[in-house]
Amino acid sequence: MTTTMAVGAAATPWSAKQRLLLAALLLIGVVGLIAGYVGTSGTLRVSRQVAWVNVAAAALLASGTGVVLFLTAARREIGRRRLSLFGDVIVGREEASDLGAGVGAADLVSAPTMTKYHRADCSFVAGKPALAVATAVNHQKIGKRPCGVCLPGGAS
Amino acid sequence: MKYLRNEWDRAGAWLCVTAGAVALVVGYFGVSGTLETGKQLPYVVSGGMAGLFLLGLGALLWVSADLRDEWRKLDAIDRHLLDGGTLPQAPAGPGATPPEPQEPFVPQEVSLR
Repeated sequence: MTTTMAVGAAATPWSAKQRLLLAALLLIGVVGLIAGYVGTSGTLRVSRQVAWVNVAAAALLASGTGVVLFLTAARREIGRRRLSLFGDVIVGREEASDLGAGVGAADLVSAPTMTKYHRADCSFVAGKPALAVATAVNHQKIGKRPCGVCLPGGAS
Repeated sequence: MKYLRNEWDRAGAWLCVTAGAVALVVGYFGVSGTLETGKQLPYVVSGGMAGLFLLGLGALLWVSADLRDEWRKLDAIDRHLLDGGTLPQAPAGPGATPPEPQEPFVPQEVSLR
């Protein structure tokens, strides 16, 4: 079976080094827990058992660290890849908003059920279907008033 | 069987979480069954700590499966963009109509949200 891979992309978000580190830390966890169990069950003297409990706890901590490192590494790698594919969405949105501010009346939208008209990038119309685009004059002709939040057409 | 083969990581996660929960319950009954600390500590290690280890392993498998899925999705989008953003063509058979000429590719904004 062959799989097509995008150029320059790895099959998983983890490198071989990261997988090796996780395997090593999980192995430390397993060995430490087994040693802790064998050590504590080999004697009934609590003073001797405490040391083995500490060994098991340290091993558990090591494997937990491995898990956290493994998952955060993948999260970081995925974020990096998303950024390379789509760019910075927030910056892009701000740029689009800046452009929209200079476009003017053609960007003004409203819907039949609305009493006001808005800029196309106003949060009040975000995700609303069936928006009609018209000039400020045409919106006002049918009795719609400018939105008080996005101030279309420089209304104040 | 097919689920196990395709979703081995999630199946493994369920297995680990179940085993971890069982270990915790066994550890609890082991500890509560005696008043002697020397007999309780092995249960703390084998039941309590091993149970936590298995729960952590289960969480690791589940979250890493989600991350792998996301990575594959990004792969698919990457491939799609490299292919020029066109939809895959149906194989041409004897009775198949010839595909219509396509419009030139215009890059469009893609959002994951």
